[in-house]
Amino acid sequence: MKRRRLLFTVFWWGAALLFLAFLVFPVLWMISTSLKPSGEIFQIPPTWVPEHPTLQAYSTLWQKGNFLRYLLNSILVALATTGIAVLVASMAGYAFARLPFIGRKTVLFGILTAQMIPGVLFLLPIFVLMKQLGLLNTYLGLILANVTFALPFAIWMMYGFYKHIPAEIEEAAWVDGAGFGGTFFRVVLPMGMPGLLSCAIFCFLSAWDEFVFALALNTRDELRTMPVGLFSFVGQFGIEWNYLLAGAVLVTIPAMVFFALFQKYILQGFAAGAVKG
Amino acid sequence: MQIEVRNLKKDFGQFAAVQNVSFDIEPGKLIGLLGPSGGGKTTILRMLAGLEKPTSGEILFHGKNVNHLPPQERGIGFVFQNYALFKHMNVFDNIAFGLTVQKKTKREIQERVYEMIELIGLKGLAERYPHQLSGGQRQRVAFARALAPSPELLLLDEPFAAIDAKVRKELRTWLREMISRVGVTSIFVTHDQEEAVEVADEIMIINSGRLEQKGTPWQVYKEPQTPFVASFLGESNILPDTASITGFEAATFRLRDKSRAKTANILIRPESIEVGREHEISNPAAASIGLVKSVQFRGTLWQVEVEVGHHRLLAHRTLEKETLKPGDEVAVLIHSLHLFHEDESLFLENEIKRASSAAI
Repeated sequence: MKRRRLLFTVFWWGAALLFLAFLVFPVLWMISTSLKPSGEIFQIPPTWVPEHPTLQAYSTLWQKGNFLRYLLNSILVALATTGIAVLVASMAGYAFARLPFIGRKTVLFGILTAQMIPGVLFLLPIFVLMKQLGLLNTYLGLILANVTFALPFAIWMMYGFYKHIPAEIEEAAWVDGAGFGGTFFRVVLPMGMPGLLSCAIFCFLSAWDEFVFALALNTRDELRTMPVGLFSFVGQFGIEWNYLLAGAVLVTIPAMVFFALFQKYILQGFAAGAVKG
Repeated sequence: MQIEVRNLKKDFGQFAAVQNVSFDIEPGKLIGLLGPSGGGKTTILRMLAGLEKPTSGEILFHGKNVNHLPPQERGIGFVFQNYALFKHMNVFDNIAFGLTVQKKTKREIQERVYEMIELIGLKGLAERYPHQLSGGQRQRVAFARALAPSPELLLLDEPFAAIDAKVRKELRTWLREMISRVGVTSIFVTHDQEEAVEVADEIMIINSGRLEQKGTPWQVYKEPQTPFVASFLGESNILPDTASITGFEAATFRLRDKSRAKTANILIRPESIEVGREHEISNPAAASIGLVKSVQFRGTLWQVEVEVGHHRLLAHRTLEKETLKPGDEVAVLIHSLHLFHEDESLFLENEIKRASSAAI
């Protein structure tokens, strides 16, 4: 009996570790490759730990190309996307959660449906739209495109959070004399702060990772974001793997730090959105 | 505040939650809305607060119709069942909320808030957050928050329902004192008759969206106007007729419509039944003979189930007296009963007992 339980434990731990390895492998491989000199990358058998570790890929990255520029662009685009999306979602979510307007459920469902359509399908229409608006090759164009894709989920997330706040709390504020705005800004929004935060993180990460639109909506090097910048290492005749992956490591770090700092809120946010929505 | 309510109605779709309720409330009174859950009490309270729009009818404060006024402009305080404290604010900020919204000066706010904190006995806890307080303390804060802007009417929706039994008793007494000290007209909702009787100056019994009766707890207990009120407030035995109950043989003939006396309801309170050996009974001549069926200890008294004729009655017996056993033959003296028939209600005393005491 004891033996069986032990076997069972070993089995589950083994399975869990295998799964973890599967997830972690690409990250480790990325880091390992970024530290290899060009000659070692395609060596067979492959080396797990670089035999001649070097930071050469990183230093070249800094010196050559507009790497810093890409980084700043990414930060700008991601922050602006986050700001706009959170502002809109925090109010739209509240409207869907509380205000009894006609067609509320239909619109809410429509937003969810929009979320299910692959973003790439919108590439052409958005490109044409931006061209006509004269927003190609501008930060604003890319930011608006990113907001478009972050918003549906952000609204659902905030909707879930507001639903979670008891109506009594708002009624208490009304009775004490607070109007619609006062109730929203003094009571509802502060109480929905964890939701707002997780919503912000989600928007930031989605804009940070975005590649297709960032590539399509602008052609000028000085407007490129990190993912597009990395793409330039994929050349016509070959891929400079160590540069590409060194860049990838650098892109991943901010996202990981962000996630580590706020993971409590992110999980809370997803849970509230999912269960209470 | 003087409150008048005229023909108040509220429908939720097909469901009539409140039907033609009318009442007046004198300034400074503490009123208990009592009734079973789902009877419409909370809906009435929410309509008074402006949180729910009446389907029809009028609500008047100081003689002025306030139907169209939003809750912000009614000059009321509201205490919710689950406190509804703002959990991101500490005790001070919670109590200060109404005053801050009214744009009072910092000094005014501080003075009033500390006065309230003192009043609710939470001195030194101003910096605490709601999650650092006990249930009873939270409800006190909710109470202070409602009172801080000096409302003219305080509404409380099941204020003690979420609090454990022992603290609830303390809070009741505390609330009663507090309200009489502040002197604000107050209405509270409860489904607990003990609470209503203990706290309220007057109670209104609400059932199925209707106001069954309004009066002081004693009046309502003593002179229930409907079978519902009689059975809801206090314990009672309900019988279809008075046959074989000595002293009440002719009771149903007192009804206006004698032909339909058979459909009357008879209600007898356990506390108006005397049960015991013949020598223990105050007036044996007015008593019936009964058989003890069961005896239960009820903490402060014996509850005796006794069979009289074809009726089974629950009666109370003090612990001082000799314990009865099932199977004992006893004398059962019924001092009084209530008789209901449609909208007629009669309070009747034992006729033999009355005749014999008149003879003396």
